[in-house]
Amino acid sequence: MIIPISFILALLADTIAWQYAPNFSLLVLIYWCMVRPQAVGIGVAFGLGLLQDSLSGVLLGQHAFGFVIIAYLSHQLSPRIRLFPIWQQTLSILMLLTLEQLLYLWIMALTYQPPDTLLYWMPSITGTVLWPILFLLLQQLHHPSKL
Amino acid sequence: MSIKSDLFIPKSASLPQLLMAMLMAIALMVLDYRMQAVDSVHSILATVTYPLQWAVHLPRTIENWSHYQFAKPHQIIQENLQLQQENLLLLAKLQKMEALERDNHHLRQLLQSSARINNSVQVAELLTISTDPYKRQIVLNKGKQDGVFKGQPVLDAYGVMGQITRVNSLTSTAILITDRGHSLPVRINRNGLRSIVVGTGTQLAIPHLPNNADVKVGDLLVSSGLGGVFPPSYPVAVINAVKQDPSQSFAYITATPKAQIDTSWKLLLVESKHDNPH
Repeated sequence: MIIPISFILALLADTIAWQYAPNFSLLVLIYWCMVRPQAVGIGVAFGLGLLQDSLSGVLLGQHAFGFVIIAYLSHQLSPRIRLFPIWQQTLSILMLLTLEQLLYLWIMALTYQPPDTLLYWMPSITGTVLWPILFLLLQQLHHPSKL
Repeated sequence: MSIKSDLFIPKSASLPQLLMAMLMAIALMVLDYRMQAVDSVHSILATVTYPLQWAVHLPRTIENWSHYQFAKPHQIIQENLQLQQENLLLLAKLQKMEALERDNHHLRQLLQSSARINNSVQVAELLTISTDPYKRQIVLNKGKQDGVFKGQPVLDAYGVMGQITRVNSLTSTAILITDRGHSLPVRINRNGLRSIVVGTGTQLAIPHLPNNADVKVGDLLVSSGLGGVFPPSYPVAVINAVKQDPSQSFAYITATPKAQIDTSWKLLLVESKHDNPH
């Protein structure tokens, strides 16, 4: 139950958030792909990506394309990443977020003019900074007993 | 759920699955980009995301509602008086306007050119703006059910805002004139010089006017009606900079939109049915 609710809240946050705010849906997607790989996989990532495409008014599949790749990589990384200390985990998250933005940038460059500022990469950085907080928060909600 | 069961389950995401999903995403993008063939998928998704957009809009709805529920009577009376005064002024202006319109119609008949038909409008409210900061798009709370159509001009109280690009059953998406992919035929109100303004992301630019063109800072640009999308003579923008560099063949001209692109949330959809504008 917590999984769909967290996705809905993340989409809501993305809808109202500031231009340099992290991509909340992507962060939540990575979390569930690592923690509950049997429940959240490529299909969920694809659907979530399509919803974000619709909300942000870009081409259908523009977010979905990156999301499925990140979901796959998160699955691959999940057994290792969960043993990492949190700072090391955060570095892997930076890599994943940057990769998603790179894929998105390629699509932008192919379809309409790409952004001309380096501030484009801000969401990856803010996302990385936010990751430990989000991770602990979701973990608390997921396993309140582990407090 | 124990960590052990988590660690030793077989991988649920397989490579063929990933490749399938990637192919599907690429196919969707190509279909959407090249031929707008996936409009039905768009409207299904728009219906799914409508509650989200509605939820985002909720605080404003509540604020509006509570303004009238909890306002003190004297506030409402004052507001009412103010509105009455404003209405009187506007009505006086409209009287003049009607006389001018009749004149104009008459003169046009004499010149045997087609007359402009009065444009009727409907009011729409902004639901959300695009979450992609590099696209200037908005979502409005009027859709197919209200008779919105693709290409319909969107105005606010001050000038042209944009045009409808996609119509769903309950909502519609509009591209703003400041989007980099949008251009709009205009003429300069002072001397009738025709040109095209394109969006730059934050403001507007006129890319193809020669260095010796008669353009001044402060000139008002109005829609020329030539594209057939926007009705003629609506204010669009005011020129804010003209740089003439002799080494370049075109002048560098930028303009600020008249419409309050970032703050307006009550918008007008124009039922534009004009034939030949000139």
